[in-house]
Amino acid sequence: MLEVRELNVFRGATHVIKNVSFNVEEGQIAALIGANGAGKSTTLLTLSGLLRPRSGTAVFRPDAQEVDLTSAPSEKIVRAGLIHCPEGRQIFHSMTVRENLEMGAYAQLDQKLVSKTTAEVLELFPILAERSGGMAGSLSGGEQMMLALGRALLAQPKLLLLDEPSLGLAPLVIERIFDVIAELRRRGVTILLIEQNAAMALDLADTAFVMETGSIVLSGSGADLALNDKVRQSYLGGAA
Amino acid sequence: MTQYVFQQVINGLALGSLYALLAIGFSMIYGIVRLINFAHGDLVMIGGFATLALVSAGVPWPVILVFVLCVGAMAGIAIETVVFRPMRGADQVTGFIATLAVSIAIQNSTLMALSGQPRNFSFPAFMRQRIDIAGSSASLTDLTIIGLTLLLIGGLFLIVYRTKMGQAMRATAENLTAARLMGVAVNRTIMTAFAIGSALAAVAGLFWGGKFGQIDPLMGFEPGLKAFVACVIGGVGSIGGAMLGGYILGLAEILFVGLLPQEYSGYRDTFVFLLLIVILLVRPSGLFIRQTEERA
Amino acid sequence: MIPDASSTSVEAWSRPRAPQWSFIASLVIVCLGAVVVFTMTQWLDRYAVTLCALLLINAALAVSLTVSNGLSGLFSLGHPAFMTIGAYVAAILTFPATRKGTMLPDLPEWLAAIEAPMLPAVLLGGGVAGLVSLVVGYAVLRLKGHYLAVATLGLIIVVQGLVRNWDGLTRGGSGLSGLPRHVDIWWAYGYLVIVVALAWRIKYSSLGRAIMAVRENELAAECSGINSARLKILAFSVGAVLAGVGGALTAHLISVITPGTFSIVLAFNLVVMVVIGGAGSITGAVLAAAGITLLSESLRPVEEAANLYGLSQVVVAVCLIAVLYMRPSGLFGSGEPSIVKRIFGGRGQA
Repeated sequence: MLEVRELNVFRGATHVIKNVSFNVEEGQIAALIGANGAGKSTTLLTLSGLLRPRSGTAVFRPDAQEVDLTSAPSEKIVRAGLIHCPEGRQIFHSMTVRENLEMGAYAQLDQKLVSKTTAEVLELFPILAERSGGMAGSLSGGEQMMLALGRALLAQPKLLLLDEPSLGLAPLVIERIFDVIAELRRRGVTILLIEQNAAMALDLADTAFVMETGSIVLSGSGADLALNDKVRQSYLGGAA
Repeated sequence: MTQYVFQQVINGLALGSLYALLAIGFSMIYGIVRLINFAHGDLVMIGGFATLALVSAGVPWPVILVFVLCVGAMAGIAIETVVFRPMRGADQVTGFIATLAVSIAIQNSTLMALSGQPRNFSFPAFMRQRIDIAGSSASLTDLTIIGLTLLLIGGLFLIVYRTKMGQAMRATAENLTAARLMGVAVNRTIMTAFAIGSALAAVAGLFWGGKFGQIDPLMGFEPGLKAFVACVIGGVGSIGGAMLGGYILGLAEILFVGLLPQEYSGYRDTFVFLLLIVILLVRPSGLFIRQTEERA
Repeated sequence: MIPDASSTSVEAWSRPRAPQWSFIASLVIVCLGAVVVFTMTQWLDRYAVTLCALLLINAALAVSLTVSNGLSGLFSLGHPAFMTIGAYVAAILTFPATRKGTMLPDLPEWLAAIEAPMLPAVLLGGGVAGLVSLVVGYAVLRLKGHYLAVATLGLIIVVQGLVRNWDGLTRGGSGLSGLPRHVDIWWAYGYLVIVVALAWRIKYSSLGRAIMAVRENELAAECSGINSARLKILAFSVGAVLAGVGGALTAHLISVITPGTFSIVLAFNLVVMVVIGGAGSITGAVLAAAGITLLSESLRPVEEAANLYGLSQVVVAVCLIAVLYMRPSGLFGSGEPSIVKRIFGGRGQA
């Protein structure tokens, strides 16, 4: 569904992504793990069209179409079903919860589908229904994450890019978020997940990639990587 | 005495309407691209001359109003796409200098084309009659300006708070990255903001000419700067604040001239800019906004 | 080289290695410049010499703006306000006592009797501008970026409004004409030399580095023990004093001063010079000032012949936009070309 080949991205003069290649297959959860500054978020921003690579290809194939992510404008990428739920949630604080959800459906033309999905999202996160008229900025961190996820779901994602969904949240809330991610896979959404919390990510992921200073240094199934010595030492904090 | 005060208030509200129309556009553009658009005032001049051309071509007034809105919108789009879009992402001061350059270029091109001679123009004669309201009288010109301005502002609020494009504008103003991730075509949204803001400024030019009877190529400078003051009063970036700021500034200016002895009236602009500096120092985020965002 | 007691090791390191040599080189250049000026006074007509004098003053003003804006990163447009103050103070002092009675009948007696020579009048003009800048700076320098720009633009209007209405002291909108022509091209040249030397000294001193540190990162500078508020006021005021002097000189060169002589267009032109030259680059400011003054003066005959007043300003504005597109940091960035540095001796990061 997503095919990235030899991708090179610069930020200013800094070479942030170096010859990165990977695939994400339909229906999978793929996890991208690595330390701060390894280039994970830059990879996602490039895939959603906010940054442009200097070289390499990235192709997104939902259904029968084919979108060249290195040249398509971000609004076209969104319409094709590649939805990016960014780091730090980035909800619109000065808008109401309802307006935020509407923004998620901004690119959708089928109003029936939008109201159906809205109902589903509100069922998934009842707190959003309760607070629908309140300002999004007044929500707690966990509620904001649910809003960000709900907003992304309203965009009808075929491939969902999730950047650090657990960041700064309480353990119970993190568990809830990961349950939702698993539920999304059951509903057929393909997911590319960035996580600092490598243990939870690998537990959930079908495939995983380890990124270090801009390159992918390891890849394999989630279970394999979780057993890999190097991964355990560097990211799982456990002894070998 | 009360009649005198009443007339001054109407006069102040009319002037405030002009400032409000300008300040709203100024604020919208700032809100969405964080750019203080110094060239915004020159759209007043463009609107004024567009009106003059249409009047001498014998176009009826309601049509002129619509035309001037379109001329302003197109001028705003042209300025945005040609100059500001390539510079997006540059730091604030660079952007500000660029708008200053655009303003100087517009003023002097007009000067070259039309000479600096002020041109007279006025609303039709019946607009000059005075209307009695509760024992006092007010000029129809002022009342029309006040009324039409309220209509335009009402329309603007409908667009910003009741349409999808307005919602996209607010989203872009708050968080450009997130708006792009929602599939908002940011360039088109920014262009729309420029178009709407500039159209309002051009109509302010039409009103300005009608109220003061004269237009010239450099006329936009002073209202442009005062629109900025109005924005600062109301809190830069807030549309409602800009509107209130415009009315407050217009009233304050007229009352300053009208209620103080004659010999102080020359200090009108001095007063306005002292007010600006004081407000920037005491309440940098405006009189109505409770926030601590640094004015950086 | 033995660093003096007050200098830190960093300063000693970044001092030019051969100060005597660069001093001699600078002296030679100043003398060469003087020869050029002398040749001009012999060969060019009066109008052309006055024009050159204006060019030199403009260059000096651009350099002074480099100190107050370029090094510190403050974006002030207030130069014309300080020039107006300096010019009026000096003009009132130098105005012939015999004519003060008719032109300015309301002057207090002690002022009416004064007929000061040029030098003290100019210095006092700069001094008053500096005092005003201290008061204003204390208030507005807390603002940043374009807020400061617009506040200082407001300052121009405030000063113009005061001057236009304070009839007893300034003769209002009609201004003071027939000022004694005390200033010739030598004054202008001397002013430029002093301003450049001063700017150079400041830029390549620990003071200049501290000011630039505030520009780059105010918080970090504060953390290294720099009093950023005081430095900003200092940079602002040095620029204001120099502007006051420049205004006084200009007024006595063209022998007239009105409230509109130093307008916002001038503020724009000075900013253009600094931006095109590269904010913080002294060489850039001098060259850009010369280039722009020559450009707009050479377009003046075209404007008059074709009745296209405004052409030169359009050209300047378009040039500026082009530079902002292609070289946003100006022609010279914030540094100096290495050859110039070699001659005048300036080292270290700038």
